[in-house]
Order: sequence, then C-alpha cells, then structure tokens
Amino acid sequence: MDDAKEQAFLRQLKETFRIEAREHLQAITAQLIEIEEETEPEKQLAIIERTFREAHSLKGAARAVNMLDIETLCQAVESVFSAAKHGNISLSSTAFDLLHHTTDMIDTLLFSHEDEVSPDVIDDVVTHLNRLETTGHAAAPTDTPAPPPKTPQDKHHMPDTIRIATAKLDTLLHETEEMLSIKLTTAQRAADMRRLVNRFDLWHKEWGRLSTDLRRVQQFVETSPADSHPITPSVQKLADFLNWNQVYFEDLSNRLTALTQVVEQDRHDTGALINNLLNDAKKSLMLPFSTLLDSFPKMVRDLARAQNKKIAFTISGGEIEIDRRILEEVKAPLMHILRNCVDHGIERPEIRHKQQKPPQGTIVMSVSQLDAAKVEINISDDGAGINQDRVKAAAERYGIISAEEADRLQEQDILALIFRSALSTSAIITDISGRGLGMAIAKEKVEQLGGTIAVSTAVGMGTSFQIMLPITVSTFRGVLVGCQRQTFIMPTTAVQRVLNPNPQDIQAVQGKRTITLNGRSVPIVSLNETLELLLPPHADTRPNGDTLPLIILGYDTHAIAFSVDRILDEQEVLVKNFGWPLKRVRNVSGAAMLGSGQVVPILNPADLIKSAATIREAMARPTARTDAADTASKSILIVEDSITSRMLLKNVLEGAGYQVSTTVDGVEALTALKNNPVDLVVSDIEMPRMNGFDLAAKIKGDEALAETPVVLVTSLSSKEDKERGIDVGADAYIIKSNFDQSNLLNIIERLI
Amino acid sequence: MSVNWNRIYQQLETARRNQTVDFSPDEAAQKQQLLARAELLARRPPESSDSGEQLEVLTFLLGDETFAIALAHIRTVYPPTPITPVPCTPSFIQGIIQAHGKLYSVVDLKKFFKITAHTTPNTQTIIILQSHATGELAVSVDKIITMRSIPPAAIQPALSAANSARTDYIRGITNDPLVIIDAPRILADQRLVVDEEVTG
Repeated sequence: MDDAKEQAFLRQLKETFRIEAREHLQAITAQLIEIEEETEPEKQLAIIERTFREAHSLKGAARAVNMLDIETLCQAVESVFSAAKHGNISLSSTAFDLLHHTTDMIDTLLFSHEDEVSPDVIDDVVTHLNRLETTGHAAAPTDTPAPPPKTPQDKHHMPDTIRIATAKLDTLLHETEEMLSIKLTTAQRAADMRRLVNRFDLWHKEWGRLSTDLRRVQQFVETSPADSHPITPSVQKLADFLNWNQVYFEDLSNRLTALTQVVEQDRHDTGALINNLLNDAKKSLMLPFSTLLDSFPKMVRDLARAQNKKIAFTISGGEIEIDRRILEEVKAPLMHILRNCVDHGIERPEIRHKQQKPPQGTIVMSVSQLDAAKVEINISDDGAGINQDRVKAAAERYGIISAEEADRLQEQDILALIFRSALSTSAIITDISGRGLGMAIAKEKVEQLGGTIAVSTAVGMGTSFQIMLPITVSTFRGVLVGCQRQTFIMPTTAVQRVLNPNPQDIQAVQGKRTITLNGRSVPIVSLNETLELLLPPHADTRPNGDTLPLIILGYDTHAIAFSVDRILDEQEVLVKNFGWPLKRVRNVSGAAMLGSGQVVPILNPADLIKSAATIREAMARPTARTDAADTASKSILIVEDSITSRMLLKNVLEGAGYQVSTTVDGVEALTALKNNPVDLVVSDIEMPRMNGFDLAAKIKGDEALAETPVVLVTSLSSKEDKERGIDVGADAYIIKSNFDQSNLLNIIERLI
Repeated sequence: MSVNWNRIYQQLETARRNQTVDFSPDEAAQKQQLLARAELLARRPPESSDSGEQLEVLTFLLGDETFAIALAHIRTVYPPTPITPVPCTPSFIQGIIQAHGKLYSVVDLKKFFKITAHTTPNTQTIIILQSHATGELAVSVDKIITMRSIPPAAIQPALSAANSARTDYIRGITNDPLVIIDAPRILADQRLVVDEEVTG
C-alpha cells in the first residue's frame, strides 16, 4: 500500500519535473538564440550567465527525480557555459548547433522510455560537449544523427500545462459562483410551479362537487322543449360553456403539470451542471501545500536561533493539493502555531539536557489527505507540553472562568481554553508569541474555512495540533432565521446546534436567562436585542419567551444561545459583499440573495458573540458600574530617565485614561511606590542609580509591592536580557524597537 | 401624477450617450460649429436667462420639498423597490437592494439631510448615482416628479440657512424653489462610510 503510494508520488513528481524541465529548456533555447545574435560582449556575457544558471537548475531538478542521463547532459552543458563565462572559449555557430542538439535530446529524454535513446548516443554528445568545453572546438553533431524514434514535436503538439494568471482564474471562478444564483432561482421557479399545480386540486375538488348538479341541469334542458321557458336557451348555453370550461381547465392543468415536470428536470440538470462546473473551477485553483510550506523551515530556523534553541524541523505531504484561497487563509494560523511550538514548546538545550532529552528539539509538520474532501495538518513538537494548571490559572486570572469552574474542568475543556482570546500561559510576554490572541485567531480562521482544530499534549513529552481543513472552499450555506418581521442568515458552519428548548431547562437568575446544555449553563441572549432591532420593552418577558427557538454559537465556555423568533430553513446561498460605503458593519458581514430574489443580511457570528457579552454585562449593571470606576482610577508609575521617552509614555497612558505619575530612576521609584502604591509600573532598564532589573527585583521582593505588575520597556533585545527580566519577576518585556502604543496598552490592559 | 418611467430611461440613456460618445467631428463640421459659436458669441446676450448650457436634472420630492440631481450623475432609477434594512447601521443607511445581480447600499436622503417631517417607508423609489471614484450608490426618494432643463443663470448659490445638514451638499437653488443637490459631493463624503467594529 505504502509502496503504491510512493510509486504514485514518484509519478507525480516526475510529471512536475517534466513541466519544470520544459520551462528551463525553452529558456535555454531562447537564450542560445539570443547569445548567438548578440554582438556586444557584455550583454552576451549576461545572457550566458542566465543560461548557465538555467542549466544548473535543470541539472539539480533532474538529479532529484533520478533522471541521470539528463543530469549528465546538463552537467556537460553547464561546463560549456562556465568555460564561456570565464572567457576560456568562444562559441562558434557549430557550438550553438551542438548545444541546440543537446537541448533537443534532453527534451526527447524527458518523454521517452528508458531504452529509447541509446546510451552510446548520449555518451557521444557528452564527449562532444566536453571537447567543446576544453578546446572551444565543436564538431558538427550531425555525425550522430538525432536518434529519437519520434521527434518530440510529433509526440507533443501541445504542452500539458500552461500558465494562466491567477487573476484570470479568480475571475472565472467568481463568475462561476455567480451561476449559483441561476441554480437557486431555478429551484425557486420549480417550487412556485409545484404550488401552482397544487392549486388546481382545489379547482378539481370544487368542480367534483358541482358535476352532479351540472349533469342534472343538462338533462333538464335536454328534456325540456326549447320554448318551455324563456331562460332555457341561456341555461343551455351556460351548461355548454361549463362543459367546455371543464375540458379547457383539465387541459390547462395537464399542460401545467407537464411543464412543471420539465422545469423540475431543468432544475435538476442546471443544478448538476453548475455543481460540476463549480467543482472543476475550484480544482483549477488548487495548489500543492509546498507553495506555502517552503518558507517555514527558514522561519523556524531563524526563530530557534534567536532563542538559542536547537530544532530539527521536517515537513511531509507538501505535494498534497488544496484550494489556493484556503492556502492563503491558513498561512497565518500555521505560522502562529509553529511560533508557539518554538517559543513555548521546545525547551532550551540545558533544560532538555536535564530532562534527558536530546538537546535538539523536533517539530514535525505533516499534511495528509483524509478523504476526497478533507486534509489534515499535524504539527507536533517534542517539547514541554502544555501545563494545564498554568492554563487554568491564567484563565482564572483573566476572568475567563471562575475558580469553581476551574475545578470542574476536564482535560479537553482545559486545552480548549488555549483557543480563547487573551489567554497565554507564557510567564513572560515576549514579542514572538504569548500575547494570547494568536490561538484564538487561528481557531477562528480555521473554523471560518469550515475546518476544525484540536490539540493534545503530554507534559514533558510534547504537544500536537491537528488541523482538519476542507480541500476546497465550500459553497456558503446558511440557516435562515426570522426576527421581528425580518429574515437573517446565520452561517451554517458557525451554528453548533439549533433547538426548541423545553421551558423547564431554562433558568433565570437576576434577569439573566441560561439554558443547561451537556451539563454546562449557556447564557441566552435575544437576537433582536443583539441586533438592536426595535422591539417593545416587555417583549423579553412575554410568557412564551422561554419557548423561542435557540441557535447556539461558539464553543464550550464561550457558547451563547441566541433566541430567535423563527427558524425557517437551511440552504445554499450566494454571498455578496456590501461594498462602499458599508465597509464594515457591526454584527453583519454581507448579504445573500435568495432564489426568490429576496435580499437577506448575513450575520457575523464572531461579532454576535462579542455583542452578546456586552449585553449580558449591561444587564448586570451594578457590577459594570464599579468596573468602570475601577478603570478610571487605575494608576501607573513611569520610571524613565530620558525626558522624551517619559513625556511620550505619560502622554500615551494618560490618553488611555490612566492616572500617571513619573520618576527618573529606580531609587526614586521605590520611594514613590512605598508612599503611594500604584496598580502597575512601567520601567526603562538602563537608568542611573538603580536600573530596571533591580527595580523589578526589589518590587517583587517587597511583600507590600510584590503584586504590582512590572512592565519593562527597553532597547535591550538580547535573549539574556529577556531571561533576566523573567528571573527578576517582570510581568512583561517590551522591546522599544517594536514599541507601538497599542501593544503597550494591550499588555497593560491585560495585566490590570 | 404618474411618472413616465420610459421617458426617464430614454433620457438617461441619451445623457449617458452624450457623455460617453467619442466626439470627433470631421473638419467641415468643426468649422461649422466654430462659426456657429463665434456667431453666438458675437450676439448680444438676451435678457432672458436661457443662454448657455442648460443643466439637465431629475426632480423629486423629499418630504414636502422639491430637489434635483443632474442627469449626468445618475446611473438609473428604479420604481418603488422593497429595501432590506441592515441592522447596526446609522439611520441614514436605509438598507440594501439588489439590482442586476449587484448589491447597492441605499442612503435615505431625507435622514441624511435631516428632513424630519416623515418616516420613510421600506418601499421607496430609488435613484442610483454614479461616480468613477467611489462606485455607485443608491439613494431613496419619496417621489420622482419629472425631468427638466435649468438655465445656469437661474441657479443661485445656496444660503447657509436653517438646515445645515444639507448645505454642504447643495449645488444651488432656483426660485421655484428647487434645491439642486451636488451628487459628487455626496458620493465623495467620508461621513457616509460605515466602518465599525464591535467594542467591549
């Protein structure tokens, strides 16, 4: 099985090589002509240099796929160009003939079976080339007539591959996606027609009830003489008309039924055609993973070196293909996870040594195809693993979970916490990672793409991330929900669950309602309210409020149940962006057109979860108010000897609403702190009298001050300094070169 | 009074053609044109105000007032169309509509100009404005009245009077009174742009 896979891979690799080789050969041929035509020696030399490199690249690629004949020929050609480059030989027109002949031969070799070109012929050409290289003389290669049984032109009229600008492919895909609206509209038309056919049922029924009456009327008129009553002729006409009417309507009904069947067939055919077209268009946008992964080894190496870590990094499965749009989107999350592995996963060599691990850490990234529609990316390291107690502690510190919740959490729940925003277990905030947002963003991205991300870990053994991704961007599907008199679309990928709650399952505490799902209490928020739709103030307390359907978004402790008025449908929709002037709207990401032509806003789940949190806070107003008061009175001490930096920092922090006091060195700062404790200290490192490290150590060593967070802001960026920062107990270490306000403010906000 | 939509479409088409047609008359035609112009210039200006290039406008109602926009800035118009409201947007964004497979944001001109008299129903007549710089924008109006030509002399500068919300966007007014809207100004206005994140 594995062998078969290997064979398949080799075949694919050779195919790729052929495409690449063709390009090199075409370049070489074109350049040979250029060289021959060029009269200025300098320009000629420049082209020779380019040709030399082409030949060299081709040689390397040939070696990689074990095509030794081509490698040998390239080696000889390369040597000729090398000699020409150094002015040892000049190329005569017979020399060009020989070189052209060689490229033709390589081209033949590319597509021939093993024995089609005899080794003697190749040897002969190589000998000629070698002679050319050493003596500058070329014998006409016609001594050995071109041997291929078929010339390459016969075999390959057209190349198998052509290059197309991605923009063109994107346009094509976009236009194909637009055809979805035709598919949706056709479905709508078919449904409309079915309804129309059904309306004839009523007519049939009503007609059926009257048919006896009509018959009697008819019998009556037929048996009575025409002049028996003045009205008789009219009744006769009416009865005739009704009979004709029935036949006419029956016919109409039959025709409509037939037409409906045709439309239904059209709907089916159009749907299938469009689906196929869309799938094939998507396939044309697939790229191998390697196009993305190739930049990773260098990144890992650079990061590792900056931290004095030794890391062996391997990648496998780079040949697996995936939608280019997914590849682009998944780059940032993958990079973040890799950084995490380097930064938090792999330990420093001395620590690894103590733990009897090899000094060199290992990170393995493997891509594998799960089935026709899914791939899995696995990123594993053999580092420290994730310390669950530290995750819990950090989550508690940032108020993501309460102490009681922390006690109850299972292993999977704890690991899930690392994907929550503002959570980092890194003891010190560094520039690489540890700001605790990356994993949340990574998860959001992966889920937006319709994938999943999971993590498993063993302390001391390592951590492994599994990312499952779809191979192509799937057509957008949405759940249609009704709120007030409006319809909205919730992206299906974001919906965890839809349910009609049992009123007994809903608890209300201080006006906040929650529902218990899988033993976890999930807050309920009204979607009307989240979307700021006008509604009567008593709407939330209406008696049936507890039975409104719920849509659950978000995972685990992050989950929110949105109550909606109605859940209408789940279907494929065509997404449109708002465009100017609606650049970004809160809670709404765009709109979709339904088959009926109705325009429906698409909701933004990430925004909704954030908005819901704000609403829940507003409901618990008393606490919210004290929180606000707290923030207003938060005080910060700046320790900085440069007046410019001091002013800048003061300005920034006061601008953010903090109360700021300043001192010029560690000694002054300590005195100030003892008299007036503050909520946080921002300190420079290099200062007269007492530097930042000593100040941090003093603060952390003082019983009264130990809890005060210390942020070191410095231009020292060496690893030793950062470690020293950790040693003295600093809470964050920001390097001035990377020093922008938002970074500092974010970190401060997290620390106090 | 009912609106003659066909006439409006025809006229808009003509206006567009006048803008886009490559104007390259032959030499004789040029000469004749120049002569005609010279003659025009030589004539004494008449007392009446119908000289010069007339401004072709579409007039419409917003509340009780009559407004106008130059045809040159109008892409097309749509009879009363249902507008889908978009939550969490400023009140002057009435919602979105789709036309020819495209999505347009609809600005409620009454709200934008702070004409408070009426509430706007969700089905409104739509004018699509065009700009090469920003793209197209739909505005909703109460009722389209007609098309007419205004001699430039009849247009007076707007007074920066009572309603300041609109003075920035007024090209001028006539005696009727007819308020002529400066469409490019609206199209280029950053105040229209909605770019909001959820905070908190």
